[in-house]
This record gives sequence, structure tokens and C-alpha cells, in this order.
Amino acid sequence: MMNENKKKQAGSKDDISDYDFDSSDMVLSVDEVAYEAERLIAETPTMERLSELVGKDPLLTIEGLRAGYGKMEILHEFDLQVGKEQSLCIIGPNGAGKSTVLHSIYGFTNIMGGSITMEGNDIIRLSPNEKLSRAGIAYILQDNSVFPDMTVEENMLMGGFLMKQPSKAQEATEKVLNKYPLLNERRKQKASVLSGGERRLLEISRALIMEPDVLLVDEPSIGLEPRFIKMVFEILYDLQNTEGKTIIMVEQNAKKGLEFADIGYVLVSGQLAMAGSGDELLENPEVGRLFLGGGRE
Amino acid sequence: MNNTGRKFVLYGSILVISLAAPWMLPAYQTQLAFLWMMVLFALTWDLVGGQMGYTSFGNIVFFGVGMYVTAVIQRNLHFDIEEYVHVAGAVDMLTPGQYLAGLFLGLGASTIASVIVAAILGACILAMGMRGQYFGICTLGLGVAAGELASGWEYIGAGSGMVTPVFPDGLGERGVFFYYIFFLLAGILFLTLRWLYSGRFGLAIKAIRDDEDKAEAMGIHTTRYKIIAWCICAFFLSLAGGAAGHLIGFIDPTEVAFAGATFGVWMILMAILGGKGTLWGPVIGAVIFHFTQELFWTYLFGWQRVALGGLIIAVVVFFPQGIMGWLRDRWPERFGYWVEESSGSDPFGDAKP
Amino acid sequence: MSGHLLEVKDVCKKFGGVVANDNISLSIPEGSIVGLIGPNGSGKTTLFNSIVGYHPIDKGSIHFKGREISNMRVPEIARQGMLRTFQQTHIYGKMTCVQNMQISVSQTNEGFGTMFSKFPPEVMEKADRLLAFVGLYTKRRLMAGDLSFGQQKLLEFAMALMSEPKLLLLDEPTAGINPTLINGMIDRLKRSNADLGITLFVIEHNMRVIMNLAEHIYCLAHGQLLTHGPADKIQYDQKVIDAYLGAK
Repeated sequence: MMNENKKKQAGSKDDISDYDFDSSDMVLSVDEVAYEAERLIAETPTMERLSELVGKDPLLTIEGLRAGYGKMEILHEFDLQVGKEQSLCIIGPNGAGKSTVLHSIYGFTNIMGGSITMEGNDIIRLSPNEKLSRAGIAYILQDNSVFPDMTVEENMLMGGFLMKQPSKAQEATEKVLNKYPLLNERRKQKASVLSGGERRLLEISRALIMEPDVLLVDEPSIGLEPRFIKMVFEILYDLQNTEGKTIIMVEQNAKKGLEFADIGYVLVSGQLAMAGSGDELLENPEVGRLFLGGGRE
Repeated sequence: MNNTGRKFVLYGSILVISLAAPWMLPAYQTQLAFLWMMVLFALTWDLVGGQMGYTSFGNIVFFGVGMYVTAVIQRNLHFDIEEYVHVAGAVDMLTPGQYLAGLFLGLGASTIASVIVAAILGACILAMGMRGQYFGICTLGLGVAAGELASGWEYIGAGSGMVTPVFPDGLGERGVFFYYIFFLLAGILFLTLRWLYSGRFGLAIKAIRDDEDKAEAMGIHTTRYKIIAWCICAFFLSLAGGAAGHLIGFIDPTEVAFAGATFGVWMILMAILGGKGTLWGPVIGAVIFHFTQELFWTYLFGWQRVALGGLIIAVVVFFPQGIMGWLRDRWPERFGYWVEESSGSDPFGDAKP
Repeated sequence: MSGHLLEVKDVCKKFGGVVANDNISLSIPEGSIVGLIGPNGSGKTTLFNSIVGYHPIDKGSIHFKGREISNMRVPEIARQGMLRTFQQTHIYGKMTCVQNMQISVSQTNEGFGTMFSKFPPEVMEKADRLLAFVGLYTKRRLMAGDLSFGQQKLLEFAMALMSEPKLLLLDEPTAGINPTLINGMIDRLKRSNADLGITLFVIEHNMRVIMNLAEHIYCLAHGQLLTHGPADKIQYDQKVIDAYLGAK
């Protein structure tokens, strides 16, 4: 069920039709969407189905997760499976709990039940530090998480804060900066002067210092101009296919997210409503109507 | 029992117990009077510090101003100033009428004086846009400066302070009299704040606390609200100061009137302990703190300051949300924070074009 | 050009050595919906900040309803009837959604007398309706700080509509919002403009939003005004394609 590469070649000249100029006539109220989504939740995909989508041994598995903040439970009996070097995109209405999934994997939420395992090992008990240093999971926050008064280089070094020796962090920083000349040019500049796209690039690069296997990316394209959105997805494509990273992302720009990802999950009110390959969900008219603002017309 | 019924029982029982207290525990009348003073301290601090987010270390200024103004009026009304002996003063006893006249005139003048001071300070500090830690440090300086000024001013006794007249016979027990005065002050303050917090004023000051830039961007008259809140604070603190000066009997500029290191800090602690930003939090905090402090003084004498310091650290580090905050986190529904069940369709039916 | 609701003339703003706004001039007619687009860092939010008085401008003039406002402070300008939403969402975190909405009632006619009054029931009803529209009706009693990022953004949007200003400056109102709900927001903005007469000035990166919403669009690049024109023409303007829409 896994898809072959369907993304554009990196570096191709795009035309304006790449940008979404569709109409916005499909107006559904939030409650109507929630109501219709209830039906979908009734047929929530089984673990077997999720396994099928992965098509091989899963790298990360979430089973029956109940999690939230304080006393509020946001996720109810949530399942997830993603395989090594695969990409999975979670879409859904605001407040559905998409970021909570990433927060839970990384250890920022109150876990009330269920399990999260990586290659069979339970990782719930690991602290966020340990998630990065031992489990190889890196978290790229939603927005504006650079240290504004530190330079680009210093920000990158902070990405290697947990390394045993600072020299190792310096080495890793050089390696990553060499890969992204756009950042290299600005390495001595304060992070606060970077434009939105450069800042996002810094946030992603910083997460690569510890050479994680899994990247949790929260809204990669938020607030970015169209060209930088393209750049970010090209970078993620490269990280998945050339460097073999596994990527789990939340993306409100659902069309872009589903175009990119191998697997797509639709989350509504804390429950998994649908799961399928990225293309499958994109073609699905229900998904288009309820979650993509009209879909492919 | 429904909500109104529960409220009635709550307020009713507090009222009954409070009215009866000085008769039930005659040995503790003065301590109980101070308990209500502490409640007033915590509530006034919370108005500006907890509800509005402007942590003030200098509210004691208004307390001291009130104390001195009332004492000065009392003194000038009935005594020849040159003959007035400061510390070991052997002065003539006042009649009950004279005493009360001096006290209440003094209290009235106190409120006017302190509100003027608050308005001036507000115009200099708040209107200039001082916020956060800068505001805090500025007010800290105010408290210290006021104490120093008072220590150097001969007219009000300079470093030796002033003595207020002896409580006259014919007005009942001194402890009982002042107990009811402080209870009345605290009660009026509580009801006033309850009224303020239930309307526009309450929301506006909370908005200033949560995001002052946003409040300004929405056009709220932030400066007005800030200054008025501080003036209300000053008003009640000055009344407490005036009464306290007469209850304690002597006014020392730095230890009693502008007691920044004791009362000034305690008012912050009590509000935090009980839960700042809530109506009942400061009240609960004041009660617990006052009893704890009395216990420390009785049983840990010699170490009471250390114990108090330890309590302050413990509360600020481990329990900053306070009791009300902890209760609210534990049982959010009881405090009104709950999610309604969705009816499944558009409740107002006007989302469609 | 004269007599428009908002007139910005030759506005300049520098930060340190960086020129954020370089001689920007634009004009917004009353009752219109105008868009502002451009690359990240081209000075769009800085221009908004300049207009609403968040910082003083170095040069130029800004007229709102015929009055010079460049020397007025933020609350004063807001009370004139110009409000803005922020790129990084600003809501009152320790108050409930309903309370957030109540305190967003228009401040234009607030005096000493109204400071201590309670809110009339119409306010509550209006608040409930707007909250229902953004899908926060069932969550209206929760503290705004406990909402998800997207929900907070929607709350801020609802708060802006609650106050019904004369001119509303929206800074990327749909960033991070679910696409289906974005359609609803576009619809609601158009209705606010048509029925309530709210003039809109919108910064957006989402082309679908700005093309469906705005009549006229200004494009900034490198702190300067690159070009402007009707919405349907702008997307084919070569300068805009080179600077913003096209590949790097």
C-alpha cells in the first residue's frame, strides 16, 4: 500500500498553478464538520489496516493512547504505526489533538493510558531529553522556537547540547551548515534577523545535530511564503529519501502535507477518523469536502 | 441545596462566627483584629498584584500614610502640639466623644490623602508605562523612601515616631472595639471587590494582566484602570493604617507604619499562598498565614523569623498557584471550567451563507 | 485618492541599520477589502505596526478618517475604530473564552461611567454566536490559555469581529487554520464587510484566501512597495511572480 515517490524533483521551476487559487465556496460550519466526522470515527481504521499501510515492520507504534494536559484528556484510544524511512502526515480540524500526538510521543503530555513503543521497546517512560539522546527522536516545534539573541551558529550548537563533548557538537554543526549554504552564509548573524523561511530552516537544521532517526515536525509550513513552503518540503523530502529519516508531521496545509507524505491520518476530536496513503486521502471527496476546503474539483 | 442556598449558608456562618468571635475568645481579641487587618492586606494587594498583574512591593506606603494622617489629626484636634510628649508621653485622657471624633475625622482625611498619593504616584509610574519588574523595584524603593522620609520629619515625631491616645473608658473593651472596626473594613472591602470583579472592571484588569499589549490594541483605557485600581487599594489600606495606629498605640516609621519588610512582604505572600487572582484566595491565605505566624511566635520563639522565611520560600517555589489555584486545577468543573457536550448541529444556524 | 478611510504617505521605518519600511504609500477606501502580500521579511507586519501606532515612524504621514494619527498611541488609535490582530496570536490566557469575547466589546464609547458597569445580555448573545461560528461554543467556559494554537487563533479572530471596528487589520488570520474552516472565515469576513461595513486590510500568504477575499492587493518586497493592483491582475504581474510567487 506504500506509494512510490510522487513528489516533484527538487529544483524544478514551478508555475503559478502550483499555488492554490481554487475557490472558497465550500462553507461548512465547524459543528457540521464535527457531526459528519462522527460517522467516520465509527469506522475508525483497525490496527491491521494501519499495519497494512506501513507494509513492513513498524518503527514506531502507538496503541490505545489516552493523553492530554492536566486533567483534560485530548486523545482517546489513538493508534498509529509508521515504518522506517516513511513519512506520515496528520491532518484534521483545529483542536483535534494533532499536536498532542507529537507532544505525547516526545513526552510533553500527561499520558493516561495506552502504549508507545519504538522497535518493540516502550518509550513512554523516557524523559524528553532521553527521547532525543537515547531514542533518536527529535522534535521541531511549531513556530518561532529559535533563540533570538543567539547567532545561527550558537543556535545550532544548542541543538547538540546533550552531546557528551562540545567538540562533537561543533563537528556536527559544521556538517549540517555545509549542507545548507543559505544558513552557512548567515552563521554569525543573530537568529532574530532571519526571515521566516530561514528561521524554519534553522529550526530544522538544529534538530539534525544529534542525528535523530525520527523527526516530529509540527506544522512545517506555517506562516511561510509560498516559495519557502516549497523549500521546506524539498528539505524534508531529502531528509527522508537521502538520509533515511522517518518523519511524522502535523500539517494544516493539508494538501501539501498529503502530497508529501506516504501515509495520511485524519484526526477529529482526539480520535482517528481515517487513514490511508497520502494520495488516497487526497483523492477522497469526503476528505476534500470536510478537511481540505473543497479538495480536487 | 442550590447555589444561592449554599452561598447564603457560607456567608451567613462566616458572619455569625465573626460577630461572635471576640466574645468567644476574649484572650485573643487583638490577634483576631489583626487577622482582619491581614485579610485586608491580602485583598488589597491582590487587586493590583493578583488580578491586574502589577506586583507591588510598596503598598505599605498607603498604610503608613493612613496611620500618620489619622494620628496627626487626632493629635492636632485635641492637644497642643508643642506640649505633646513623644514616646513616654503622659497625656490627658480623651473623652470617648473626642476620641471617636479624632479617629473618624482622621480616617476620612487619611483616605483623601492616600488616594491623592496613589493618583500622583500612578501618574508618575503607571502612566509612564512602567511594567513588570521595573514597577516592582520602583514600588520597593517607594516603601523604603517613605520610611526614611517619615524618620526625618520632626512634625510627625521623626525617628521616635508618634503615640496615639490611650483608649478611653466608656467605649467598651479596646480589643472588641477595634475587632469590629477591622471586621467592618475587611467586610466592606470584600463586598466592594466582589462587585468590582463581577463587571467590566474585573475583566479589564484581568486583560491588563494577561496581555497588556493586546488590551491596549483593543482600545482599553489601561492607564485609567491601573490608576483607579491603585487608588482603591490606597483607600482601604489607609483606613486600616489609621485604625492600626490607634490599636497598636505607637507609630514607628520603619517598624510599624512603613513596615515594608514585614507587612509589605506578608501581604504578597498571603495572596500567593491562598491563590492570587481569586476573590477568596487572599482571604484563605491571610487566615492560614496569620495562624501559622502566631504559632511560630509562640512555639518557635527565637526561630520564628527563620521559620517564616522558610514558609515564604516554600510557597513561592513549590506552591505558586496557591490553594485556590490548586483546587481549581484539581476540580476545574467546580470552578466553571468545563466543556459542554456538542449538540451535533450548528446551535445558531447562521454559519451557512 | 483623497478622502479614503486610511491614507499612508511615504512612511519610513528603520530598525538599527535595517530599513524595514521604505517610502511606503497606500490608500484604503472605506468599505473595501485590501490585501497585502510579499515575501517573509518584506516589512508587512512592520507596516501594520507603524499604522496602528505600535512604534513611531521615522518619516511620512498616516491619516485615518481624515485625521493624522502617526503621533497617537495604540489605545487612542484603537478607540478611533482601528483594530488589528497579531501574527503571534494574542488572547487573554487566564480568562475564559466568553470573558475574552466580552472584554472585546468596542471601546470607542467607553467613559468613566461605563467602567464599573456590567455587560448587557446582548453582548453575551453576540459572543455566543461568534464563538459558535469558530467552533468554540462548547469550549466557551474553558480558559483561553488551555486551547490549542489554532483554536486561540480562531478566538482572536472572533474577538476582532466582536468589536466591529471601522477598519480591521488582519495579520495572517488563516495561518494554521484548517482549510475547510478557512472557507468559513473568508465567508464571514466578506459578510462583515458587506453587512457591517467593516473595512479590511489583510496580510496573507495563502493565495486562495487573498484572491477570494481582496479586491485590491499591494505587494511589498525588501521593504518597498513593489506594485499594486486589482486582485485578478496581480497574480499575473511579472514583478510579483519574480519576487514572491515564482521559484527562487
